[in-house]
Amino acid sequence: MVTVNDYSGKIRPDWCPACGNFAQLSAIKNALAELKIEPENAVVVSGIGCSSNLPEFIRAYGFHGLHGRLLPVASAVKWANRKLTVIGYGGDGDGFFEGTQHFFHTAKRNVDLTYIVSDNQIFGLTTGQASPTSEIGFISKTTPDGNIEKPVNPMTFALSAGATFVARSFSGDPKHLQEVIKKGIQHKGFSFIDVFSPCVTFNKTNTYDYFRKRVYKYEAKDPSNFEEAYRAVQEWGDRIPIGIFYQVKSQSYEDLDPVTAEETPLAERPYRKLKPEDFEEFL
Amino acid sequence: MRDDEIIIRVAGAAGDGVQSAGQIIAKTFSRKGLNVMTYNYYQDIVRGGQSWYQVRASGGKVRSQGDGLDILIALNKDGVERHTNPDINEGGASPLSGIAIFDKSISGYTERKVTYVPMPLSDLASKHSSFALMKNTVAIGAAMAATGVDFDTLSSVILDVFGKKGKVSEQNVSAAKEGYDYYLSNHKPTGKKLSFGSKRKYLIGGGEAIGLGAVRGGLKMYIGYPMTPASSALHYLAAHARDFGVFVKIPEDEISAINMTIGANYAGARAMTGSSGGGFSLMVEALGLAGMMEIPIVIYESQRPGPSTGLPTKTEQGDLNLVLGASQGDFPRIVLSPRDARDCINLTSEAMNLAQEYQTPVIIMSDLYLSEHNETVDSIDPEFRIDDGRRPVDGEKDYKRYLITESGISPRAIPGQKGLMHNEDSDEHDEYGDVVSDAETDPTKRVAMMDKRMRKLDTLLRKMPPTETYMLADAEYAVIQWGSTAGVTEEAIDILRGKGHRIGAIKVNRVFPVNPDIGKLCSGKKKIIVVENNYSGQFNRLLKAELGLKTVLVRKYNGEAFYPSELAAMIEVKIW
Repeated sequence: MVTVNDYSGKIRPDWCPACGNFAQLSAIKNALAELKIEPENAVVVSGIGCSSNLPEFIRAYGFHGLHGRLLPVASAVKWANRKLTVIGYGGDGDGFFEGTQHFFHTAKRNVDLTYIVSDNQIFGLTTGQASPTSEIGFISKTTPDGNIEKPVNPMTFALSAGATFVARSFSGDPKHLQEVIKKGIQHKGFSFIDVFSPCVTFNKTNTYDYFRKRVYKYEAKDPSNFEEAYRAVQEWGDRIPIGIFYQVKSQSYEDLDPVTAEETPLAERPYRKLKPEDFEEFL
Repeated sequence: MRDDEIIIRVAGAAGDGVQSAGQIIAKTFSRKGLNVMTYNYYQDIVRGGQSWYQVRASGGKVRSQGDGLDILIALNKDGVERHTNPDINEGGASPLSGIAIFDKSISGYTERKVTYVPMPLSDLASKHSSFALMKNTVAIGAAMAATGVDFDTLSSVILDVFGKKGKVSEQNVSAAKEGYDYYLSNHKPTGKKLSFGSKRKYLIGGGEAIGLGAVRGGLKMYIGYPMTPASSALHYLAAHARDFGVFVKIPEDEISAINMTIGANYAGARAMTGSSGGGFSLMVEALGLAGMMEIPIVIYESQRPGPSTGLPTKTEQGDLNLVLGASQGDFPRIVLSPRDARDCINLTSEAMNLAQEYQTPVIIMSDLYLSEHNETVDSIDPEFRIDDGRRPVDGEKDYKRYLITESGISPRAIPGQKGLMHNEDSDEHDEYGDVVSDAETDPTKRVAMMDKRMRKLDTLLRKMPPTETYMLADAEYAVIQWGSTAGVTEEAIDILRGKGHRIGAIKVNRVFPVNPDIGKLCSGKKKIIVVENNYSGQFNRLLKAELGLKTVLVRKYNGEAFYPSELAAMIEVKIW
């Protein structure tokens, strides 16, 4: 019987009090426990940034790698051992600046993993610079006169790239967050979850209050309707929808590749012994 | 040149079928039990230009592309002109001193002291096919007749090469027979006495040998972005992925390739990536990640001349500084540089084990010369003992992923193992893997971890096999070489010995950490000559820094490999 305590790490998170990352850590632990996934079969791969410290605070297999590079690592972990539940976890700077190409291609490949982005619309760990999701006019250390670059919409990006599960949630709504993460983990294929995660220290614009006033729960009439999802994720301003916008069934990369498709995970298969016939072609 | 040795060169434009023709000739000789080495001179274009493919074959040792040229098959006028010119400027290649075979329609070339054999190649080919390249097959038939090899062996190779193409393979056999018979009826053979045998030899490319060695060493995933000259290994493995049970993937870039390789190894599947210097440059940050997290990875780095895009289809050994200095901070890395195809197989299998044993990056440095030429190997041993290194048992009490040990090697748990959950971190960490870069900053632990990781090199050095030598025992002069120049260096030594010089060679295929025995091998020598295929003498600099050797440098950086007589002359100047 797996309980959430099985996932409790011995290290106390070093995030600022009330940081949006706390809610996500709890939601991930709860979701994994509710899905009865044993901690030894859960791998959390992160990049670099405040949020990316998360693998240190969860009792699972953690991989705290390089800025922007968590998705290639996470993909290969899944390919090496398809029995594992793989969660990629990082920030908006990590995922939508340096990791952009990996985000695009991992979504396209439909690798069976859950990618959660703690989106605080700022660089926190480096003490407050504009990020790819910072809004126009946003004032930060690097944009003292206000940001002039349009923010990226990670949702339309994920949809365009071919993600088969696209959702958004909010750290201020832990119940919703946990439910969405749980569904994301259950989804077979690439699940993308963008989480509004207020940075209480450096982002004085996109606060808990800012989101509480705006977010509402979106229910897709037909989650497999791409056009509907694409329209819905673009709503922004006074009202911002959260929920599962898009979900379709599609074979994952490791199901399609004949080598990874076999039941026994690659990592657990015996080593292939060479035979003289293997190099007969050179004779 | 010896009587039992022959060099044949096929010259033409890209798209003329130069390489395919050369490969048929090479395989015919390897099936007749000769030792063979090929050399591919080509440009970064798909059509046009001037390329050539050379085959050297002998009953004796063949350790380089060799000097001299006995038979030229020229597929255009430029080919006839260029390769009969004594002032040939093809990077060290010899001009023709024997027979030039070409289509009789080619005329107006400068007459030189060679035997011109204009033949009705196209006419003979058109009896069997309207396909333009069929005339190459006629020329191959003629050239093979000139060497005295039997037609049946040639025909068996043609059938295998075109085997899947049904009628086309029969047409090619007929075309080859036309050329073979025509030559014998109208012209004289070369007079060479090749010692043909009946035992076929393996003819394998360096890139394929790397791939085969990796599979023998337990490879389960190969992730690589295409880049010449590393792609031959990628193509070989992709073609055999299902047979070998190896997952092969081209990702979005080399940054992804190395991070995937790290992820796969982290999760317990032996994985490897490969590229040339440009792609390796993109992998630099993640190289240090593997060093810090102590995750085994193997990187195949096949060099070509830089800087930047450089000469994509040429050879050089100019990436050593890059490989040795790549990534911030100090961490242990192992650099191997195979000498030839056999060494590619052996060292790559070994690299797969070394990475696991030492839990750190192992880089196999090849170059275009080694990765893209074919050579014969007498035998390939399918056996190899795979060692996964130090692993903990499930549920081990108080498990420490980075346990401080004398060897520097700690027990590596794999995701899925019960009770061994831990975090692996790019930040500095303690024995448990817990970060010490944050609130828990701990200078003592930092030093302990740094020392532990670096101790792996001491452990490795203690187990390092002695450096191999050639004719060194009585030598007054020592040549030191690394990687693919081993064969040509031996041949240069033979030439110099023939001229009375007491000279020998130290052959380094384990570049880093530097084996201190190299210093001992050099003691008492009058002069130490370091041979390198690069501008600045990168290995020479390493030897000076590590061993304090006083050396002189012989270098070549025009994009081509050393030729034996050329290298002998370059060395001789240094020992006068």
